[in-house]
Amino acid sequence: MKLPTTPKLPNTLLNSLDELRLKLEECCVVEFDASWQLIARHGNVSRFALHDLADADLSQLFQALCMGLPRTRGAELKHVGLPNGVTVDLRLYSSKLSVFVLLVDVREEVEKARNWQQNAQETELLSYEKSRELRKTRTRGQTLKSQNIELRRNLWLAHAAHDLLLIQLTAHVGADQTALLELLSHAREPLQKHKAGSLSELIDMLRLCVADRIDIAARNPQQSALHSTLRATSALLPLLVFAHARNLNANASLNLSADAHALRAELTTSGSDLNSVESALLWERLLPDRDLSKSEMALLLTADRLDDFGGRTTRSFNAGAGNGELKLTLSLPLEKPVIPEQTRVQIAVGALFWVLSQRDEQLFAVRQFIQKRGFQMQQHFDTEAMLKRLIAHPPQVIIADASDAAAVKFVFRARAEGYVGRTLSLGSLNASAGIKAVFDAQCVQLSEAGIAEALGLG
Amino acid sequence: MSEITRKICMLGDFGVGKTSLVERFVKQAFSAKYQTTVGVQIHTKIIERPERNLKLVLWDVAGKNALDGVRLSYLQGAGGVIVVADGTREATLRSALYVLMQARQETRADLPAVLLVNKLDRLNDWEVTPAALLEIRKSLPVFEASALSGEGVASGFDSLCERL
Repeated sequence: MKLPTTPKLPNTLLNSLDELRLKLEECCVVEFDASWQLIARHGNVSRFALHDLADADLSQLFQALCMGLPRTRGAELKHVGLPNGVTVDLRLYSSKLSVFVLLVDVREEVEKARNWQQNAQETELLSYEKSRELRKTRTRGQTLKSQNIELRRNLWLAHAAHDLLLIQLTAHVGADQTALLELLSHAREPLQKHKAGSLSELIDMLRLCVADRIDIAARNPQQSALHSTLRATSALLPLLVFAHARNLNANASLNLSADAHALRAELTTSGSDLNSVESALLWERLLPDRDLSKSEMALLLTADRLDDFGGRTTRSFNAGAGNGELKLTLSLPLEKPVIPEQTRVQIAVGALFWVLSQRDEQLFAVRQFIQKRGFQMQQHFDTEAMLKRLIAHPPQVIIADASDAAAVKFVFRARAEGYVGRTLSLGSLNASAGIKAVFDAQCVQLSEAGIAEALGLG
Repeated sequence: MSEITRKICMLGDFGVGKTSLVERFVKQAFSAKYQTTVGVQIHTKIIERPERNLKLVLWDVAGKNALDGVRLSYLQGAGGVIVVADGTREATLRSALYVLMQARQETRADLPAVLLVNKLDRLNDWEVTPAALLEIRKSLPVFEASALSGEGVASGFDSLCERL
């Protein structure tokens, strides 16, 4: 096409060029007739990559771009990205016979705006995604926390149930082997009956089972068998909890047998590894630092629990490759268990903190620390009375000597009564998993800094 | 064969996927990298029809939760609008409905429109509830779509084309 040397442009358009301080060579004007047929291209057409477009294509493009724009006055569209990649400000002018479209190259300006806008929007989108993650984590955390509390409460109830059994059975005498075997056969019932039930239902069933066993034992005069019965029942509680958890998504079977010298329990599981929330919580909570599979941890937990009751146990694990089959064989010699003597525990009581310990230096150090922070503490020895007080006015933190049986027993009983505050162990927790389960944190060093750190008081 | 041309504006908050939906519809392509739009980007697509082809001129308008003067100017001559929301950000649904209301005030009350709720591929993260969409469907065609997978995209555009 031949470009006119002196384009006839409307005054309104020329005025705009003046206002914009642009020369025609710096921009481009495309002229159409009233029916959008191309008349001429003016200015720097190649800068806008319009020089090699066919007339018809140019007509179609601008007709579409200017669709709906009023021709009577200088209508403007800013920052229009054309299909050919050029970004322009577009102004429409008209004379009697023609329509003029002025294109001003704004690529540089738009690129700057794009960079700024891109950063701002990306930051906002990222921030939203992060907050979404946070919200999800919080929701999950709250769910886990509530489930965790429920699960721990059930475990404590189970522990408390056999602690109670321990206390009550030792007050009675004897049971014969027949009664023992009867006990063991009955112990299978909860697992079968409650295969699809909830853990709390199972625990309730176990408590009933334990109460029933107490009645049987109370009517039976042979003490040695009673102790064995006691240990068997104690051993069964975590086994049943474990087997129940396995049953949520896998098969588990528990076979029990006994003769004059030993009790044997064989637990076999197959199918996928534990992955229910309930089970995962249980194992992660109780044994978080062991680099073992959850099933292995579960078995160790069970075995550890047996050790708590003074029995000599032999364990063999058989983790099958691929299908996750696990077998735990427990053997308990029938002899008198070592039962920690019930002793009085010293309890230093404040509004927010309770300290349980038999060791004066421990008690003194923690009391000093707490009193320095303005909390008053009083000394008590009556555990039963203090349990009642704990239920009525629970403290935020119980600090207990984890190596002291009476202190730990008090914590167990507090948990069983529904205490959900924090528990802090004094000294390193080289205890069984069952004892570890009731402590939230440990205070390894009995120094001011150590206590502050463990209590989270900085 | 002759064709008719219709202008369609894509409106909605930033980051909802307007450009991605257009790319998917026009070029059958998708880029995971977020590229903000400044001003408006023009695309064209011809829909073949037995009687007369339909040439769509798609105005991919820079995202914002409300239409300012510049954005309103892009609406002139629009035959229809596609308002886009991000299913994973509930606030963008409100923005989409608000800009539709603005667009209809600026042009005409019966301006054809459809709502595309994008990011169907991230359904697990959706904040927009089915109940909310059910309510909106009473007055506006709604399509859950994914620019990533292409699901629901053509249906949404086709639905609008039928109303033009």
